[in-house]
Amino acid sequence: MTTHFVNLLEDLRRRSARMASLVEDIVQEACESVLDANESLAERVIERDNDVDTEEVVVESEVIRLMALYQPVGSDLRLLCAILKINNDLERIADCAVNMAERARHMNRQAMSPQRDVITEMGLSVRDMLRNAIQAFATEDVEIAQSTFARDQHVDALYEKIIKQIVVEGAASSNGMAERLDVLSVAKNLERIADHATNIAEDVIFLATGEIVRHGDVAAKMKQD
Amino acid sequence: MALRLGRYFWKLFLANALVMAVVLAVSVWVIVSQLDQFRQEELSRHLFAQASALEVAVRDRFDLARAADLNALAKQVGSTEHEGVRVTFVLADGTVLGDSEANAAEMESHADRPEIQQALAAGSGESVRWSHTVAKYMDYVAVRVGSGDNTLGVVRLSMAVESIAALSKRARRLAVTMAGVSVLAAALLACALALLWSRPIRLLTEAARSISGGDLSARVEVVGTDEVAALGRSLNEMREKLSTHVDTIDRQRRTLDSLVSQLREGVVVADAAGRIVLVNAEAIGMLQPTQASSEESYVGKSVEQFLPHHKLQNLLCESAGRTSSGEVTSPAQAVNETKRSFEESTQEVELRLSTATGDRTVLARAFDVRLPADEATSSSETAAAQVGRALLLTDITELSKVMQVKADLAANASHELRTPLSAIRAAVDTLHSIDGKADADQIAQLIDVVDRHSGRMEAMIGDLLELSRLESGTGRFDAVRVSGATVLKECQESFASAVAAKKISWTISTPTEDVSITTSAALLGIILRNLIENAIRFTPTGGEIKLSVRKEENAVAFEVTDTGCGIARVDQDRIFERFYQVEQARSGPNRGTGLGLSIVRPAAAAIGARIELESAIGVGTRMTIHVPR
Repeated sequence: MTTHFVNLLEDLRRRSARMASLVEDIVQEACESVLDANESLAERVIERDNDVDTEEVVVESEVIRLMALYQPVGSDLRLLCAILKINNDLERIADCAVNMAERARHMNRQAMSPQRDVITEMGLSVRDMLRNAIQAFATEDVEIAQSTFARDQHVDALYEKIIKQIVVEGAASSNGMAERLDVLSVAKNLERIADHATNIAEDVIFLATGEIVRHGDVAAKMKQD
Repeated sequence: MALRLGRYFWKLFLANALVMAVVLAVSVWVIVSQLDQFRQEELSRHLFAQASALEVAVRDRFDLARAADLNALAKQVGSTEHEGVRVTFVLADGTVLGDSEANAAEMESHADRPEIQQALAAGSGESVRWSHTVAKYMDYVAVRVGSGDNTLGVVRLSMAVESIAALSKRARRLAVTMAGVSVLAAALLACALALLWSRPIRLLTEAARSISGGDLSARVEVVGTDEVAALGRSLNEMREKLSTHVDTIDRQRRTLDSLVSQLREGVVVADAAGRIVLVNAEAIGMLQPTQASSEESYVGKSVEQFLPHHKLQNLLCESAGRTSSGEVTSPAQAVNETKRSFEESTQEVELRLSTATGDRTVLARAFDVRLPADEATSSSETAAAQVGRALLLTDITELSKVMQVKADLAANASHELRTPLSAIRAAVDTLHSIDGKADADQIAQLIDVVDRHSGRMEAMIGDLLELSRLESGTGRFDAVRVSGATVLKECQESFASAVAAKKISWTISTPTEDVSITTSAALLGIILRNLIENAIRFTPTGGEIKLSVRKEENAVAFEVTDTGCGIARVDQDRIFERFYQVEQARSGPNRGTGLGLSIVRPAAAAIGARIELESAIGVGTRMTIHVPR
């Protein structure tokens, strides 16, 4: 491949990594806006999502342009595919952050209080997962990527815990149902972000090793066939 | 010495050998051909002489009638005297009278033979041609028999060219053998010369190669004064200069490295292409606390791989007012550019990072820097400078804490002062509004309120003054010899009524040994009074307070132990801050000024004492002051 192509590919990889940390930043702000019921921070999150959307389109069209013009093979092709898929996940994560911020706009601190601790823990876990996934992508580090999978289960467990709490509270009193739904929505979005982070980690493993680790059984079966 | 012969050796050797071989070959060829020619001439002269002798012998019997005699003579002379010499007697009309090789009677007329025609005409003739009679190339020499006007015939002697060649072959073989030996000798000589001339060059090459490989200790042995020796000397000089330069550069680099790595600020420098150029350990500690890699391992990586924070990535990659190319052409322009853009390009962001030592508040400042141009991209004429970006990370955790405390102080002080003040205002307003008929009791009560609250304000202002005096260090405290037991006794006396009012059991234990210390009695009093006040305030009715003093190795320890509410772990660090009060103290009935412990700390520092705090919620608190003796 030409040096020109290598440079373009490297620029694109950097651009995608920059977008990833922008998304990470947005998620952090979204979590803070929810926990502190900070309306101005929530507005900021919604505003910054536009940057992510723009960036997503730019990255995607650049991937397609490079594929069409240079017809890369091997690891270059894998990198482009991984960037394309991660790009998509990042955009969805930003959307989840926006959803959380929208809840934050009309939430009050009191409504949160019973689940506040769990949400805080969930937020920390999810942000850690996302940071690891992004770090793994930036450095192509398989070990870091694998560390995200274990955390995903932890996040799922926390999500279940919140649902149970809300169900129990809802059975006890029908007051404050709207607030409880808000909390549920925040938890749901956090859980989704964790799933997308897992996807990114899987794509990083694909990028580094060429192995598809998603849906463990299917991949194993395909290998047998 | 391992003999690795280079191309130069082969060039020298082959050139010498070739020249010698060509010279030899030409000389041998010239000598041999000269020799051949000389022999040829010699031979024909010899043949002529023989032919002339024969002519004299046969002149008077040269006719057809005595052909048999002549033939016998021919055979005799041809066979015996000279091996390979053929003798022929021919009459003037061409009839062969006798021949040493063939039968004369069967031979054709020899009148048309060129040598015979020449001899008949001029007296002698010679020719080299193919003989049909003996089927060989022959050299014929003919001499006329008889005088010019009485020609009888011709005596012809001939010799095969082959035998002439055979004769010269020996000489030729000798010449060729000589030539071969000479060529061999010449080759050896050439080899020796080539070795001799190429050796210094080879040594120079080896030295130059080891210098370029980084071994600056390599020296060349220089012998003689020729051009190669001059080259060797220049090489040695170059090596010395290079070694000095490298040492200088290395020292500068190490100085710079150690300075950068010892900086308390994190430093990250990236070039225009977004690649890390320099990073120090502090920055790695702040940004990559989980990865224990060396500084060098990050150099050359992209900014995105190293910096996990989007804000920092933006700071480091996006210069304010950067020209699109990022390249500045002339150095002077570059300097101006950098000066100008340093102000403009500086951007600041404050952010929280979680590092190995917990969450830190970091002030990140980024500005443009001029980097030396990349060798690969710069053209030699325009010493193009590259504009990179430097990121400076300053840990402002402590600073921001101090700022917070200061901000809190102002807010707290005004708040704390306003509370009693508003109580006083309310009482005074009530006093204004009530008429003279008012209850004397009520008036007394109101005055009591004013009294109590103004007293509290006074105490607070007094504390504040004392605190600022302690903190500014302007107050003078004279050290005197005091006994620990006496100090405790004084404290006991002054707090006796307060302790009695709360029905607190109050024990003092003093050792029998001497616990005297030389220190400021006033400051020690302030510390103990504040601690005891707190102990009384937070110990419920019926509780217990223990005062004790004991001798330690280098200090005397005063201990105030209570069975009060205790202090939560999270508050233990903060209770020494001004106006900081734990929740119970703030809301409870027995609130203080919030300044007591903040006075204790600078007071203890002033006398060099150390404060130790042990506390558990609901169990009690033990404060220990270790005063150096």
